[in-house]
Amino acid sequence: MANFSSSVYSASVAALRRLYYKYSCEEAQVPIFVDAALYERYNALSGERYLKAVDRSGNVLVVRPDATFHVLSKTAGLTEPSRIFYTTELIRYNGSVMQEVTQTGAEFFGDPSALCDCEVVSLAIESLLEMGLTEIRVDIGHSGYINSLLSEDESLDPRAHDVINRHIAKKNSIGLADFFSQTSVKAEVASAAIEICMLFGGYSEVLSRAKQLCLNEGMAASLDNLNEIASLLSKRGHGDGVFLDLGFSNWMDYYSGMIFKAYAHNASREVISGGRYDSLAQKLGNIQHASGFGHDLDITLPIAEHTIRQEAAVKCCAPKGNFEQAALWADELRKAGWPAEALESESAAHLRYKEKYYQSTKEFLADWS
Amino acid sequence: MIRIALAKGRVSDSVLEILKGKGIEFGDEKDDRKLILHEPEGKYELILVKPQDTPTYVEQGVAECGIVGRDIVMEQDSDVYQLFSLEAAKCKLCLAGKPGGRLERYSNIKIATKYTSSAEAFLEQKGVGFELIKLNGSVELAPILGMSDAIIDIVETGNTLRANGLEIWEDICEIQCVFIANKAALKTRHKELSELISCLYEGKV
Repeated sequence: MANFSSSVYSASVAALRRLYYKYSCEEAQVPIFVDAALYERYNALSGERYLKAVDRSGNVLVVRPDATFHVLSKTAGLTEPSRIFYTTELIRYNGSVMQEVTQTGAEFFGDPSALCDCEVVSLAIESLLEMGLTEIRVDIGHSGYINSLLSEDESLDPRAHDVINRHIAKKNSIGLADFFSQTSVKAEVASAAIEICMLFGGYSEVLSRAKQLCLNEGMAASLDNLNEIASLLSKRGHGDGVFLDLGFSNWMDYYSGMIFKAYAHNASREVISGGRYDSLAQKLGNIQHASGFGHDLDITLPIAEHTIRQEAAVKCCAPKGNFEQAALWADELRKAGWPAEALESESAAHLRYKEKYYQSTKEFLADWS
Repeated sequence: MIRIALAKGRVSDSVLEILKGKGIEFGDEKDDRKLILHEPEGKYELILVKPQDTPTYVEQGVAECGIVGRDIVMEQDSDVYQLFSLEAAKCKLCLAGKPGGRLERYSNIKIATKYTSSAEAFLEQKGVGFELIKLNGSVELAPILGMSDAIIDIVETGNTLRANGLEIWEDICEIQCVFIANKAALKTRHKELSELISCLYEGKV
């Protein structure tokens, strides 16, 4: 059961939609089904977490547990850069419990630049501000940093990469040390991987230590890319809230570049996750470049309940028998862009409106009446 | 104020001693019916919870951090950060069976255990075929009664194994208390959490 009211949902989604349009994004419908075989081959979500359906021909389909993947499956072969956004319900299993998850997000296709990544992160930050969330913190990392580190030791097979990435994702240096003690991994790779678990925090300090840990050009190039994105974010005025976390790992091979997570005051987990996922877009949608994010509305909407400005419909109420007057008032308001309801009543003789309204609505009404 | 979820029992006994040694005391800790303990300065609040539930309180953000046996965290795969271990309530996860047995003698081994996830990870890494039998306690009975070839279980002193005619075949990993943190809290409450972390952990955080 969603822990937010339908009015806060409508107000938030409307505010986000306006913001997405300002970033030149077009709204996309997220298909409900995709082919299960394709899904299982590429998607990052564990098979135990999604609902399957069988069509009349016996094909097994997956019922929308993730939006990005489904959008990609519909935008295959796109050649021009494009930006889309979506708001949708996802179906996921948490253990044996089926859950409906409300998610919104944006995907920028066809642009490999750091500027594009900066736009994605900026949009994510501004979408939280738009909902009135405060004390926003964004941590950025790079999948290439750990991948390049692990490429230093050719004895590490894909399974070992998976175990190491899983431990790093949980900042589990104990598990990582146990794993390395049972393998013959190069000592400098092992010690760097263990340190990377906790390599997060203030931008300059972490970047400086991350540079010292670089064992090859791939690691250095990842940091250069992050530095470029962070510098652009700073120029956009978002520098203060941006931190580094080099321990964002690329578990399940989803991301292929910058990775970021946004946190907000009073939220029990990250509210936005995103990053660049060129390889997945190439494999799945034949799209060369993709960067985007998913925003967990189930976490932010209950917080926005106290922060978002809600546009309650203005009740235009005329005395009994004077409905035309009420309708005229309501139409005036609607033309001016406000939601309005025309009513007639024996008790009320004039305008009245709900307790929650825009200050500007009130001012407008004062002028208008 | 930072809320710490602490696994009741063996872990809480040791950790309360450690915290006391670091100057963090909870005045009402002697009353073992109390589930919430307050530190007089108001910086910390302890909630005493069932060991298996500790990661859940932290994952859900009800507590910013927690301290629990590593066996619980390994088994549950909860979505929390596992930051470091504490030198408390130490024991080990072992493969054990009848005297003289060895894992290498089996191409396919039948194992009884309460710790199925950890057992699966260990046996997969060893590359041996296996069948797991989930038991919730008195695991030592399984090889004695021929229900399994061996067991994977927590061993503290080894007395229970010896009393039932079993021995350790192989140590799998050390089990101590681990300090876990809510993923968002580690970022949004970093300053307050680092103070506690630095107090409990000598390394750099």
